[in-house]
Amino acid sequence: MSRDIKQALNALVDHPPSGRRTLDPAPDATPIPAQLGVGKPGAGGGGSSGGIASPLTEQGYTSRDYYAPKTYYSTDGLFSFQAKPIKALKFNDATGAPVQFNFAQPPA
Amino acid sequence: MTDYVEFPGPTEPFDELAAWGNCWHGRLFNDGSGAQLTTPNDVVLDGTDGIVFNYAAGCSDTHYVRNPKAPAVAPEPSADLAAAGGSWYPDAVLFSASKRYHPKQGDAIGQHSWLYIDSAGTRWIMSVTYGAPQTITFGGPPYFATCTPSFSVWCAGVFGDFSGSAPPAQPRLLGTFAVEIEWDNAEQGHQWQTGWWAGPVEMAPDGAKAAVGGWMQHDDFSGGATWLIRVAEISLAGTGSGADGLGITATVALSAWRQTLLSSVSESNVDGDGYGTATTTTDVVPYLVGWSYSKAGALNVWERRNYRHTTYSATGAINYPTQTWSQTNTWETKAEIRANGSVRSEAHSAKTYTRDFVRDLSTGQYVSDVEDTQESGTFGAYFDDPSIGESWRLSNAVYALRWGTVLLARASADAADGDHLDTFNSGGWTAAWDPRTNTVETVLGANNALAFV
Repeated sequence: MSRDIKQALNALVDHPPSGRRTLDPAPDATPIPAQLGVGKPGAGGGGSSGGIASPLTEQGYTSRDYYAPKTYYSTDGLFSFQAKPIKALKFNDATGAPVQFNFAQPPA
Repeated sequence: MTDYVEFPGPTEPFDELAAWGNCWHGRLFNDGSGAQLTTPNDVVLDGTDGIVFNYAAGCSDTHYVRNPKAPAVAPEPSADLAAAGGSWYPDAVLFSASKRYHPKQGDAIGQHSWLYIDSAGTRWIMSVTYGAPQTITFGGPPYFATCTPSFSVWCAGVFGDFSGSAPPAQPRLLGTFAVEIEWDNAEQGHQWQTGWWAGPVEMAPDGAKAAVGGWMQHDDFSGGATWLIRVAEISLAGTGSGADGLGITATVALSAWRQTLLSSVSESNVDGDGYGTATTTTDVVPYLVGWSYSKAGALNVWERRNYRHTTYSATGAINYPTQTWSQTNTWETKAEIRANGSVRSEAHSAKTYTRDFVRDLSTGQYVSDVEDTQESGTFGAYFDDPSIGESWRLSNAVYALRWGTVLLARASADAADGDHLDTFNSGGWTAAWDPRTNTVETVLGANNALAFV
């Protein structure tokens, strides 16, 4: 019997709904043991092309760099105070590699 | 002071300061029942909200301040702040005689003081003190009085610096300036008694220009009257340093107090009796009676013109049994005071005094003495929407006007004798300049306090 005739006969017969086959449950994933991330050193060995491993830990409060003090005026111009805009923050990542944030200088 | 200033506190690296300073502005008024602040969006705050203002503390003085370092445009208030009546402006108004900053507290920079903003944006507290009253020297005719008082300019440190600037141990003296003032038609022992420098200063928005007035006192009216007769302009320059503004210098330029004295006299003996007929016309033009600075910093000059026309004639019979005099004095005072912007003031007045009398020369007694005084014209001052007042003391009207600011003479006529002077001191009026709208409001009634902030 050809495949076409068999399909045609089946089409003429009312079949009760048949359960569709489902996939078997996926097996539990094998747990990955806890470990530290490892950044791959770049080809040049400078680390510039590598990732940053969290967390970042500031090297120390005194390591911050600031721009020259900027005067902030009250809206009416009668009061003022000075603050030093942040220029750079220096961190070490989880591997101990240095990471630095450089901030733009705010307009005068 | 910081209790009343919306101060942002320490800033974080990524914070942007939105607005801080004084957010309470509007019309500050007290008619004796309590201070009220009507904000630009018509929220009324009163003593329960902390508003403080009264007549005794002085009112009406206005020092408009614009710091070029301040933001050019003030942000819109938040919805909550606006609902409470708050608003932000990129400038400030120091109000009342003591130059207060905030309507909810009384701290002020002090009487006869103002703020000079140097090129670094620092606000330096400047002040003027006046020398002791001076002895007046009389001369003439034509009669005049003169004296030479002095004033001093001081720097009292920085205003409003939260970075920890310490006040100076004592104010620094920038200079003492002696200025001659003089007034004509001043007869010794009759009118002019003393003179001094007094009165607050009129300041440009950056404080680099300030005007002080030279005054003399007139004792012809009850309580005395002061007349502004010369103006000195203080110019400040330089960037201050240290606690007392080292580097700031002051120079003084003087107004021409009397530019021209025109006088013509004609006399003739028409009847051979030895008594002549004289006509004297004296025009003094013009008097510089006030300077002020507009919101934009432009100098406004107020001038006053005085005219005095005197006609004197005397006739008598050949045998001199009697002598007939007729004396007519006509005074005209015209002032036209135009400030830049919308503030304007004008005043006109004329008074004719005629006296006819006959004296018996054999006894020396007057047998007839008829006096007639007529007044004409409008004397007073008004602004944009004229609210014409009456006052004989034009000088005082100008005195008031010259702050940029205004105490506008407005006294009711005295029904009893028509002497306006009687009602002047008890008249009660005040007016103030609103630099936000560049308009002037006048309020009648004693002990009203009015200012704009």
